[in-house]
Amino acid sequence: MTTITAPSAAPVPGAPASRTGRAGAGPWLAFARGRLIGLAAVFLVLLVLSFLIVQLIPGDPAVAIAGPDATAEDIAAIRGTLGLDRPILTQFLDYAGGVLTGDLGDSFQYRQPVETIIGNRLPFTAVLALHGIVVVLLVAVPVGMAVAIATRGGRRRWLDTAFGALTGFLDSVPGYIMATFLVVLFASGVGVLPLLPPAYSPGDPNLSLILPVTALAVGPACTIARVVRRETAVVLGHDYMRTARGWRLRPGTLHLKYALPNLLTTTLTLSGLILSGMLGGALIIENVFALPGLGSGIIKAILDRDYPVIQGMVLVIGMIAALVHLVVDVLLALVDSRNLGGAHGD
Amino acid sequence: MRSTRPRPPLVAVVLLVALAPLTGCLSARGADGSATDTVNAALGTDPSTFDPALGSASDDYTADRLLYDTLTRRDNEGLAAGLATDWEAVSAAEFVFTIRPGATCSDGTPVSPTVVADSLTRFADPDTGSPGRTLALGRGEATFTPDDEAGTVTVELTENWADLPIGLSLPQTGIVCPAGLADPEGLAAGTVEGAFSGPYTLARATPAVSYEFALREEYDAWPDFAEPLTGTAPATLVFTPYADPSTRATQLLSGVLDVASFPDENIGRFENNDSFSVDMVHALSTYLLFNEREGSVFADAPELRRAVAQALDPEAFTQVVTNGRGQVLRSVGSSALPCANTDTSLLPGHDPEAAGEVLDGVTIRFVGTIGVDQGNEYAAEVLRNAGADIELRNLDNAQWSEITSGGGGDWDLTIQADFNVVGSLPSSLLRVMGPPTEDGGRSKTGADNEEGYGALLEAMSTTEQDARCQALRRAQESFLQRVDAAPLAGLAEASVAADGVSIRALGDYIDPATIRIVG
Repeated sequence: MTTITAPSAAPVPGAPASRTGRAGAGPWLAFARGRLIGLAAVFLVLLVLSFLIVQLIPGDPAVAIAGPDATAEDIAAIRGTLGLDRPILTQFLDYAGGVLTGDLGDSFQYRQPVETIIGNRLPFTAVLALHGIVVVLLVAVPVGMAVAIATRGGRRRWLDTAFGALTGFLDSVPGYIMATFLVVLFASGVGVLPLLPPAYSPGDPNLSLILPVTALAVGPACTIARVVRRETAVVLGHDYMRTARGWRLRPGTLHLKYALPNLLTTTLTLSGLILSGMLGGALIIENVFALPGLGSGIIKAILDRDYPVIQGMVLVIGMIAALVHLVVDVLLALVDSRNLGGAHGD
Repeated sequence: MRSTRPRPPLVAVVLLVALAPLTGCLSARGADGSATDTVNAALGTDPSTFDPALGSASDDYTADRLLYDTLTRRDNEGLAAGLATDWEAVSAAEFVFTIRPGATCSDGTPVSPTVVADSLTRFADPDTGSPGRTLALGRGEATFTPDDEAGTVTVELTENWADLPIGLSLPQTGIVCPAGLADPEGLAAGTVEGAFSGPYTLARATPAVSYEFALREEYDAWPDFAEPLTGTAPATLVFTPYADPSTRATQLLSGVLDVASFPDENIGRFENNDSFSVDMVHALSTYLLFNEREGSVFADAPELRRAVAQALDPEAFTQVVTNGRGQVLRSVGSSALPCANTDTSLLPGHDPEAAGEVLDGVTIRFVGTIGVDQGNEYAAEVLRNAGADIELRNLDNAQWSEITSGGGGDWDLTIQADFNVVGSLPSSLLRVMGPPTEDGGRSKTGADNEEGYGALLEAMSTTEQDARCQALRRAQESFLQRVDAAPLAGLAEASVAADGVSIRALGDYIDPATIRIVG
């Protein structure tokens, strides 16, 4: 997992240096150009795939909309109204043209613009995911580092074993069990934490978010804590850290200034993947906590054969994931300018 | 209405202090447990439209029932007066409805016979494409003639349909006021403020999040139920979609919700709990349904159909799919439906040995809906044990409906799950006899059962109850003896209300407009 060569990635005590200052504007321009081309390519691929995916879903949207009591004529009429009787190529060109002008179409089920449907659901997922990733980082990085520091050089083996067992166990608990356990224990059982009220607005900070955020964050926090613990142990073993300790630097300075930066590449990369997964929809958590987010939305759209909503959500979720990775890449480049070339740890 | 339950104070304070920075601030919603004039209820999913004529699912009907009044209303025993205070059957093809005086639309427009006739004319128009048209009006054409002076609407049908008064209790026949008829798109979106004839208006609709209904202050056209409603109609009804019944149950138990319904084992979480009232209905019927079209193994094979029916024990099936809460059926509809068969001698009976002799080595293409997947799996295993080669496909509703209603011979057997929204036997009988789906009918069997369908038509041509029941019994006897279908279980659905709130189940129909704040 470790991808660093510590002496050049971290500031050597007594030898201040700017890692980004020497890079100049050239690499950044190339970086921006490459990422923009990448984003455009992702967009085009998503555009085509999101259209093709819905064609592969078995079942007729008109049947899903018409309901069990509809006649064949009713269903045929609905197919015509939805434009499903047109050639596939015509449908794709209409779809692509609409997307390029910012129009994702109208939901078959809701008869409302897809942007509105996504706009209703995205804030729930965003609030959940952003709180989740903040909790993950706030918990996992200090805990992982603390355990690595406490167990450096083979000391306190019991702690290392306990840490590994506990994080391994919590990480292996499926989301629906963790979520249900938290609900049963803290909401239905002891009753110390509330569930989300009806008509909850995701803009309102609310104690009810604690349980879903916890359920969402426990697994990823354990994953990142284990990675941070391992990365920290490797960094602490490098010569420059031994030198720093020899200079009797204070532990805070030693670990935060000289160890932490070398953990960020791996941690941020992994966090970006986790965040894009969370934004893509934490279906189980949303279901258990009755959060109308993107995860439950896309499943409902698939069951309803609501093609425009499926396409819109796949497109939006895909682009969000691409943007999250872009932000992570920018952060990594700011941490270490060698990442501008895309070859982390060179 | 209810709010979150009292929490252990010390632990709560500690947690609040510890966790407040994480969340920004604290929720105070309903923290004092005080009564409000708002009731929080659950939907299974979002309503797909607010145009009542186009409603096709139970959550559509929930919204329609609140927003639009119908001429008649389901009651425990038959019908209650809705927007029509009285009705008379001149014949099975002509009915006169007396419209309730003083009823108004949400924009103040009087609900006159002309308003009623215009709305029903649109409903009956094939171009409107209402999935409830044939259920309410039969297969013929309908003409609605208003007489504003007499306060009546006369309905004339080109084909007999004695069930018309029952049909006009369907939520899809809800009366749309002139403002709604003038703006069909706005009507479907629920944005036409003057479209509503029912007790509530749609105050806010946020798909996937919530739907808020506001009580009309001037509304006074409540139905005349045999047992009058008690309590107060909530000023605001907030419906939140919860797809997962377990989540819905947890929300109800924790005080977030006041009313919800459950079709599954979550019912058990409320039984013997004094804080909740539970009403059970059996509107969803399940039965074996055989495809008798060319290409199916069951075409012209009554003995094979009988063998399949004999292999399955309806009582065991009911136990499996409803955990004993369901109803063992004797027909294709609930035993509570008027004229439903009660004669067990007409049923194939459970005889696995006889079934095994016929089924051994027979390949059966079994398509099932995931709505009753436990039942599908159980039936498939029973038939395999009887020696049949079962190819089971558990599909979601859209796929299942497309295949079983498509009129093809590419499937043999299904377990039909039939939601009898009308509350009348003929709507379920038309699933197993009469015009097939490919010809615009409702029959999925494709069976050519002239005798049974003839009896059904006879029943629909008389308004005399005894004669109607006799004909319906002959129709049931016919399909049962032919084994076009074999009754299994009436699935239980529980309507659960928390203390302080009530909701009425009327004749196997949970009526959301009967939600009341009580006590």
